[in-house]
Amino acid sequence: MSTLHLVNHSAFTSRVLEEVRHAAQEGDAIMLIEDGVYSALGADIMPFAPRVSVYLLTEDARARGLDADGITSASVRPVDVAGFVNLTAEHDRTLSWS
Amino acid sequence: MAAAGLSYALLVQGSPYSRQPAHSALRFAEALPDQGHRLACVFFYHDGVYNAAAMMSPPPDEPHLLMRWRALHDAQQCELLVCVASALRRGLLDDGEAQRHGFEHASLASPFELTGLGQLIEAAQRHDRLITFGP
Repeated sequence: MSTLHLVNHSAFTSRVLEEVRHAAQEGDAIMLIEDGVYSALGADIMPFAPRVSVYLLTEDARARGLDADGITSASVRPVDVAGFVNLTAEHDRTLSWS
Repeated sequence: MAAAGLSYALLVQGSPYSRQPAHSALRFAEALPDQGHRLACVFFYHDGVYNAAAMMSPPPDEPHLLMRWRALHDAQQCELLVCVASALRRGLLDDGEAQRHGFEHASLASPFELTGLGQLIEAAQRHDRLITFGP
């Protein structure tokens, strides 16, 4: 059973992403939305377990001026809201961290 | 490959116009049909119940969240369920509750419905996915 972890707080103001790092299992995915997209700033997002993909919502990144090339980590994959919907369908469950 | 034709329930816990969860939930909900999925219901809990305020009157050049919830209901025939315990505490009463508490007018917008927390448990069991948009 795979889980999509939904994170809507920035790693600069919340320790949630660190907790997610410990909770995420192989095959899970992390979805950064709202202020969670700030966690993708910089070259390296903190390491996750093998085969844990990290995504960010492009609309929320664009709204915060983070959509230009090179601003967010190359290991974070951008998806639009349709891609977000698909991720919730592909994973058996979605867990929201606040 | 995404599973096709899933039934979704959403849980909205955030207050409108303070943080973003209502916007995130609406945008997600509006995108479901194009991906082949169905929105069955939205459950409003904690400060999320303020989304059902009948007298919500934002400035005309700002998003009108109540109208967007109503449009969503009309477009997808989803239920808009409001936790009764959260709502009464925050002054959101339907006709029956307003009468019972001695108020002249209801403050809960239609088509939102006051329901118990049991409806949330039922939604979680009955539908394929439950997605929480937290504060």
